[in-house]
Amino acid sequence: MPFIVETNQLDYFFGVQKVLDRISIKVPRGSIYGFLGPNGAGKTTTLRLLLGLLKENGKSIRLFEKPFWSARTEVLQKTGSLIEQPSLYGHLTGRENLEVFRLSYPVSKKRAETVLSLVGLQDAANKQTKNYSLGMKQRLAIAIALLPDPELLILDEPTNGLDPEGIIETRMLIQRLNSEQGKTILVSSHLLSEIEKIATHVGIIHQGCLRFQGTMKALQQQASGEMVMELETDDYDKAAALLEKQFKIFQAVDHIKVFLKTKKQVADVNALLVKEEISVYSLCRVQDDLENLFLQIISNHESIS
Amino acid sequence: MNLFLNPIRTELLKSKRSSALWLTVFAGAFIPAIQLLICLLRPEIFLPRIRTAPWEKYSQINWKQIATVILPLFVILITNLLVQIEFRNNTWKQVYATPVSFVSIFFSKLVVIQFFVLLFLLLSVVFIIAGGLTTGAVIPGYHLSVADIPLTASLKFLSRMYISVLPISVLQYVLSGRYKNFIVPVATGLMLWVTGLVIMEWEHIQLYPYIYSTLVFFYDLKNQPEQSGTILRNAFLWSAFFLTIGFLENNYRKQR
Repeated sequence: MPFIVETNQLDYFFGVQKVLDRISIKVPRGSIYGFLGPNGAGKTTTLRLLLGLLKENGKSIRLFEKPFWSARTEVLQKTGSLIEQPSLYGHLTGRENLEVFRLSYPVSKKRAETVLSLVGLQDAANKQTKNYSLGMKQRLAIAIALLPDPELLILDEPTNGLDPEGIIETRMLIQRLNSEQGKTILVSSHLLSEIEKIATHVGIIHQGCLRFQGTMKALQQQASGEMVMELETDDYDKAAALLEKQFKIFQAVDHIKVFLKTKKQVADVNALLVKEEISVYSLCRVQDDLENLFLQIISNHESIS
Repeated sequence: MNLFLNPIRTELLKSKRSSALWLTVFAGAFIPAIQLLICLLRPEIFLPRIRTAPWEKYSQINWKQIATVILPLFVILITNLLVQIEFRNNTWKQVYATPVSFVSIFFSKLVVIQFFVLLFLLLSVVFIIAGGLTTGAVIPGYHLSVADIPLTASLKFLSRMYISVLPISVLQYVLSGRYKNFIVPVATGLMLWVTGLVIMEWEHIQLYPYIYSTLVFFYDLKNQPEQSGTILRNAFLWSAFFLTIGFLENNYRKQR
């Protein structure tokens, strides 16, 4: 299967701090690849490397099956992107912002009008973007990413700051671009619920390591095999220190999630806590397997293939 | 051709509605406006000075202030202003994510900066002429409205002024692109310019690029074309040096 984006054991350092560790992501052509991870996991760093905003050793990144740095302008001609906050010139109007980037690709003026209507900003096109709401800025940034009619779209948390209606509209736009125009979309998010609704493939990154990569179906199948118990107790730190020696756990402020495989393990957990004189207020099974699987993946430093 | 022109058109568009044009017009009009007022208010001082060669002398009293003060300051400010557009709007990442070569990105902005510097110099000539004609119309004793306007000499002088500040514009461009905080390049530029004024008596002052516009003016005034020629040659050499350093730094930068 051809991969439109491929990294090979990608490492990256900020100074002496290693922020990416042997990342090998593979984004299939025609997919919506959800790049998931908590804040600070390395998602944006990875995306910046893919676009050449950060420089690596030149061998680890391939876009459109070509090494990035030897084909930079060629691959960027077919790539649209939105990284972090929208990059807009506040003193220019929406239309002028599009014109700035239209000349960079370059594409026709008609294309600029097309993307404006695609994101629903025709009426606000002659307003200076410093007067746009966050949602309007986000939509214009997506319009700029769509200017070259790219085969690949790289979107870094595109629903950040949007209201629920804006989130739904963006999600529907992404799905339409993929299903109707066959675009490959690499979208990063820290919200599993958003990725779950649109992604065909998922990559989960945590503390600079890729913990899971595969189809959404594979991830969901993984989730159905797990049993997650939620524990309330009188001493969470002591309980967590005790349980993590034998079980995968995720410690929150007011509960601990324990990831188990069998019912017998439930009894084992209870017995262990009671033996160490830790009071068990509640130990019950919780729903939302996929979210719990996500938490399991990003906790305890274990990868799931 | 489009590969070269489109980035320049893009950079010009980015300057729309920014302070760049206002700064250029204001800076170009500043000294001529003041000089016009002074000539109108104090004819007893200036009539004897410029009567013998009206336009030559009138231009000199204007260009003395422009060359020594306004021109270097303008170059420092306009360079920083145009580069800061990207930092202020957090748009560098979008610029570098477009399929435009690093060479085009680097040079297109520099070309637009040169456009504004040349525009400033042209406007200075225009405003000096306007000021002189107004002065001559109000006080005929100046003979400015009857004497021939030395357009060719003005344009030649303009080109020497432009070359003399080329190293400043290149170094300021490199510094402005390197540091997000605008204080660093502006303060560095001001410091280098003031240092030039302080060390004017240094025997090797011809090696110091931030004072070249002042030196060219005074060498022209004293009719020393060889000295002027040396300065302009040094200006080209410094510009080439700063350009090489800046381009390499930009090309090999690890983060954009």
